[in-house]
Amino acid sequence: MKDSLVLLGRVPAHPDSRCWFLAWNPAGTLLASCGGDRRIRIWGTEGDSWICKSVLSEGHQRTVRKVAWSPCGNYLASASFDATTCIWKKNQDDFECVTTLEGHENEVKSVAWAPSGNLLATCSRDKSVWVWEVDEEDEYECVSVLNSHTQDVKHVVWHPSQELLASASYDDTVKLYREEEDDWVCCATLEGHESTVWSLAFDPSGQRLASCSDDRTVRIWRQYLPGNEQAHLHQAHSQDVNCVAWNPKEPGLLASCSDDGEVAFWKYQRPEGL
Amino acid sequence: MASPFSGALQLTDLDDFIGPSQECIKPVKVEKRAGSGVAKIRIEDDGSYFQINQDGGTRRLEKAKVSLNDCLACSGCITSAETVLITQQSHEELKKVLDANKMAAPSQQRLVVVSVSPQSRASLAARFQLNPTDTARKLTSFFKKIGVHFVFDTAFSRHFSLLESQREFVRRFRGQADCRQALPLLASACPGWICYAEKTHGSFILPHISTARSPQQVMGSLVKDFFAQQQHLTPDKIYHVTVMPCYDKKLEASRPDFFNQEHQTRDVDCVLTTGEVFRLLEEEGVSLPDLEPAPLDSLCSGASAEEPTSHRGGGSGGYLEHVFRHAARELFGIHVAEVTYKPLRNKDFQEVTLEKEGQVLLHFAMAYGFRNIQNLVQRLKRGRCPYHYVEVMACPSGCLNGGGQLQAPDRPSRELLQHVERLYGMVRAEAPEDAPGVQELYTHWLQGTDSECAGRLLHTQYHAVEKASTGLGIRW
Repeated sequence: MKDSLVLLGRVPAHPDSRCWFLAWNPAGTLLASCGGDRRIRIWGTEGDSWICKSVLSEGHQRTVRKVAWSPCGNYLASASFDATTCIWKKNQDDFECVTTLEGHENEVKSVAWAPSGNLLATCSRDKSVWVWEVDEEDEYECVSVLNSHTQDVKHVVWHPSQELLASASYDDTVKLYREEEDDWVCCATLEGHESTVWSLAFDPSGQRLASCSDDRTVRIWRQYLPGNEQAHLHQAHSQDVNCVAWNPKEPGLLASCSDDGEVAFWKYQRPEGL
Repeated sequence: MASPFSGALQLTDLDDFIGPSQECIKPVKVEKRAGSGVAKIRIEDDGSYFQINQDGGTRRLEKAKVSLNDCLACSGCITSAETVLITQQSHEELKKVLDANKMAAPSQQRLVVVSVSPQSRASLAARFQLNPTDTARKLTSFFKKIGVHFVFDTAFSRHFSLLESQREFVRRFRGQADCRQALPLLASACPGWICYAEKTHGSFILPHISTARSPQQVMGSLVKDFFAQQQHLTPDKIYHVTVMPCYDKKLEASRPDFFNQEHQTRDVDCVLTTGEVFRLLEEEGVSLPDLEPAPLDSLCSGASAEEPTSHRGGGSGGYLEHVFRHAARELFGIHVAEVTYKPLRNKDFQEVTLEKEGQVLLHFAMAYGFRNIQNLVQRLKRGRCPYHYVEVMACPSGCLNGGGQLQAPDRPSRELLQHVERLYGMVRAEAPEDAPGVQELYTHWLQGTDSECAGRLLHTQYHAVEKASTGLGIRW
């Protein structure tokens, strides 16, 4: 039988404007939406229908571009084109804006909570990525301002288990950051996309990072640590090896050629468990 | 290319300080050709333009070009502010002035003065494996060799910046009850910080910033006012070059407040970074260590010309330390021998307190680097800033780590910085109150410590900058 999508309901969430982003809370009971009307709406079920449980207005002066729930589900961060990021605290059905993170020069494009819940990242058209730290008293302080990208930064996302941050930009690259001594540094740049990288997602294990781009491709990235050699062929040839080529159709079939004038064919089999 | 200006300036967009002008003044020469007017223009696939004459003949049209040189005269809509600043103030410019001097008649020549900062000197000392005194003497020798007339040390003008800062703090501390914006007082020597504050936080932060001029700009006053008088020259007859550890100082020198309207001349004509001086040495084919050391020049006869002097309190001038010790003495009669710093969230954010019988009398901090400046400013905005004085610098680790300092690709940068810090610290520190020549200048040049002259020549003003909202300003 063919799969089907059955419509459960439809709500006019952000009238006369655009709805930009959605985020389910960690418990899966609430959905936050944000849009061009500068408001954030929280949706929940009442019986069979979806209703608006609260409206967060008075937070932003311009479009709200993204919202993100904290890992504990008690806070919601909203990134806006008004260059600020609001942090809302959930108190049963009400949300109160506990602080506004200022500092970006222009539109904030994305916000993301680190899995620990203590760190927050924001990125902006001003080409920078900021890392913020929150303490027990709900005070936020800027921990680092990273100027690695050369253009508008569209998206930031944290690794699911490590304190590793990734950002996607109009400069066609993805950059990764970690803390080194008392500051954050860009530890890797992923090049390959031929146009703006719009979004990123780590898989649940954190071993792979997916990126999507205006170049109409989706790319999957994987980290290779030093010493990741998976096979080693001593004396594959008697002289310099000039070229290796994987067969495009048959997995594991590899050809190599050498100054010794020979061409060798190899079969590569991945060890168990990889 | 990554911008060489400090992080704070990179984020605030230099173009808002040197705005694009609406009209390009470059005249485009058009050759008049015989024949009546109307012609058609065809655009080829490769983007080139062809004019199709009435008789069917075609002629490829030349592109109108506006070069960097054309834009030196106007603030530039094509060239960015950064490019204008960097080319208008470069070692090539200095060479041009020196060459012009060689050709000019005596009455047309300009007196060339170079003021070297202690931080640049320390960076050069590290590179050439020399001690600070030899570096100072050999640099003097080098500059004079290429046609410079006098070489001064900005540590001398720094005495004035520190004294004015000290006095200003005590005055504001005493006047706290009358003025809510008296404290905290924020240091003003760093142009990266000043321009960021003017652009981003405008009228809110500016009343808190010290009006004392930076050592570079005090030197500007000293050279173009005091020294010019001594030499019986008008200020425009002096070409004043400073050697600084960063590019942001170029922006400071070009501020309208430091332009002398009467004589149409800047207090500082050209700022060269340490790196640019290094390039100058290379281009002149000079090996600094091989030069014969020359005696050091000084602005007043009373000052010692044997060795350079410096100030305590770190590589960014020692503002916190000087203001703290002076305030402790003046306000509370307490003599502080050693200032103890307590690092906070990172090594670029440290605090200092003066306590007596469990009470905190003075609470000062140093905040270097953009992230710490952010936090300071946000706390100030919320009324949660506990400090009386903050030494603010745009560069992490301070001026010794400025964007114009020499790099060593074969050395870990941290190790190089520590070496530069050690060399900087080797120079004998002098208290501004005791420095020879300073009091005499207050008396004879400025007519007193709180005089109108002192206010005009040792202090400055700040202006909130509006964000440019025209489409021309946006770089997509």
